[in-house]
Amino acid sequence: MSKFLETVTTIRNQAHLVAALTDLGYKPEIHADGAALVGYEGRERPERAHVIVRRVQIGPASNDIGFVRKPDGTFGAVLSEYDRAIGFDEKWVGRVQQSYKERQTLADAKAKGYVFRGREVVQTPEGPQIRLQFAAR
Amino acid sequence: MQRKVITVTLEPDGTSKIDLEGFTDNTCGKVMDDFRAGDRVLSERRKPEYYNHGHSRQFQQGNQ
Repeated sequence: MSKFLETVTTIRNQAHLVAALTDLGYKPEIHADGAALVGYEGRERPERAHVIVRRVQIGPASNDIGFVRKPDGTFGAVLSEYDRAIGFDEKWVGRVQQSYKERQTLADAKAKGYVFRGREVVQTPEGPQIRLQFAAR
Repeated sequence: MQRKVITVTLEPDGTSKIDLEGFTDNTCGKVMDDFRAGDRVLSERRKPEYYNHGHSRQFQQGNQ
């Protein structure tokens, strides 16, 4: 039988998250026990995160962006109100999820014996759409 | 033997579409799970091939 499924990406794997952020041009820090996010004025904020993109990579008046590992093992983004307003919002998180899912899909497919057939990027009004194709043995 | 092709479409909003073609056996569910990787399902549908391999007839017989 053939099927079609639509899903929303859940970020669980720290290595793929770090790779996804790197693919998007950032240099994320990894903190196994979490570290404080720093605000635009240079002071530590109460929020802590396990993967952090420092504010110097975001903008001159920005705060750090963090990804915190939740008790269920998934990662959630910590975004300040200011940074949401300048474009680091759910749409930006969507691009991180897209990059993450590409990394995860390529790694998982290889590990499970699927044959990678190709990658295509289609520009859409919403942003780049990535199509990956595989064959089952 | 028909080619079994998996196409994963990654949207910029963080959603994905997984499309299986040429699967006429029971491996379909396992392959879908492999590519879903635990992500939350927004929608799911079977494609026409599913009904072209006897499933539709079995469903009708089951209701007689």
